[in-house]
Amino acid sequence: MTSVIEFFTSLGSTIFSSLDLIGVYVILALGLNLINGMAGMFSIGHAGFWAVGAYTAAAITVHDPLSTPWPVTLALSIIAAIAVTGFAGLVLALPCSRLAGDYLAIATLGFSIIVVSLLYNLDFVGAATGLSTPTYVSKGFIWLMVALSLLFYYRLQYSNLGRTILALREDEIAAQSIGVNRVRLKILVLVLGAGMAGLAGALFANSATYINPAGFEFDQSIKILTMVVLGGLGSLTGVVLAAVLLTLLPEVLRLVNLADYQMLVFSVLLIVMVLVRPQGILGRKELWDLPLLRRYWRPSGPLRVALGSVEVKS
Amino acid sequence: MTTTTAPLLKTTGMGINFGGLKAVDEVNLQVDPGEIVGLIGPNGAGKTTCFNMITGVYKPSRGSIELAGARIDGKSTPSINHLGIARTFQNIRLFRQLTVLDNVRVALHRQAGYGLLGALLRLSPYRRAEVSMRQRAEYLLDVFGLAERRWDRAGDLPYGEQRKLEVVRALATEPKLLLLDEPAAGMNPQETATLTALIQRLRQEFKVSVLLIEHDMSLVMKVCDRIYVLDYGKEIARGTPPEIQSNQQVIKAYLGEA
Repeated sequence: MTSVIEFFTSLGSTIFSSLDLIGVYVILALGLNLINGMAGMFSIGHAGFWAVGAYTAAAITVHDPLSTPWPVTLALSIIAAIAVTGFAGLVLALPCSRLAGDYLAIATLGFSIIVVSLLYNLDFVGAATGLSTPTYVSKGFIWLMVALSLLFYYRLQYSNLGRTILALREDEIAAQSIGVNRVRLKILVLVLGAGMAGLAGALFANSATYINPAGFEFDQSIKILTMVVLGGLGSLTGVVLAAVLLTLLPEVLRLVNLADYQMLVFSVLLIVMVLVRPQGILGRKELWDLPLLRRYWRPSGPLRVALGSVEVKS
Repeated sequence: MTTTTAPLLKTTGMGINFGGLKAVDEVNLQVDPGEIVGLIGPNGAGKTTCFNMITGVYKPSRGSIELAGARIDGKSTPSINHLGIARTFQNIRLFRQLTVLDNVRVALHRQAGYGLLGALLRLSPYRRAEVSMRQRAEYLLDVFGLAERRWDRAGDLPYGEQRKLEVVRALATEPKLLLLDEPAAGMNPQETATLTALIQRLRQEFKVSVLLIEHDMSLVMKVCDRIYVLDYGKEIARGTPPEIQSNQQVIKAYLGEA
């Protein structure tokens, strides 16, 4: 009995100490879900954007070029990280916006590899040894940003803009026939998805004590991609769920002394998912699509109230 | 109408080659404001290819396409839609995973009038636009008898309703000219009768002209003011429904030589 209590106590503290990392991964997964899930594009180099964001923020907080008080430095680092990463997304999107499917995947993969190789060689940001970074942000702040990111994603998806992005995913030819500008939307999606990775990078650099290029290698891109696929491509709530579970899993395994089997557990989990539920935990659905919750609320609810007095001619 | 009414749609010598094949050659179509015009011909005659050229999916190799007097050939598909041409597809192309309502709402995107910031902050332009888009979508769905289906996934609708939803989606972009590619395909006689009435209503109520590809001759003869007949990419006849019905060349194209 005491050992059970002990287990849950240490589980609780493990979850608590992972909270900042969970938050970072939730934002990363949301950004990639915007690109791969909502827009149906295929990017596999998300850790490259993450690295750009983290290093932009770290360069500002470590070197503190304007010698501002720390809250200002923090704000600057976050804004700069989002802007620079968004710009990186734009630079990548301009030649790629006409690319579809595998070609975009290769371009993003190449981008992430180039970013990491650059970081290994830039003395300015510590090269291979990395950078010791000040820890300016608390768990509370990270989760405030997670909440804002969720709100951002939700409001985007359930707006006219989100609907046109979804339409483009469903059928490009039909979407263009009703006047949707394909190239412009795809560029916007890449910029927004990259910008979210920039935010995640800034939060990561400002909460970890140390960052180095090895932390942004290709396996990280795969990890983020796994979260999106496991949660259900395009499902907001599913992807959040998967990001939380997959970030916690290694920590929980360490707790029960199975850390050595981490890759085994990951692989088995993925194989089981692919066999049993290839569309991901929630597929294209959201938590509020479940029958139990659907009865009480659905996204265009408030508008339905506003429409109460609409007269529909018959 | 005003003084000299320019034809709404006019193609002059429109043609396209695929490799060495002249898929469509020297096609001169004209649709006047308020007209319902049929485009018929055996399978492979190049009817859908004409639609694809008019909507900018293919760039014609020869000839010109004019909408209300202004050249549109060479423009992109979205900008041609903005100028007032909308279409449906022979092999249905709905946004299958989206709801019926969203299929229509997405087509109303140009009247949204708010940007990314408006959507994120849900400022009053967002709320006003969303309410009016919802009302417009509901109205259109109701006209076509699809209002009950608004929350269904478009891909789950029966075939006939999917075809109707495509018409609604095209109509939602407020076109001057609607290109319908075999709207009655796969419909039973009763559904076709409803569709006939709806096409006539498109003209009266929504003031759109229609260019119609259709194999169901009872529908074509009933709704069309004029008909063009294509065979092997060339126009072989044009005229009113009675003229076409008695045209020897048309009968030969459809039934072969006696």
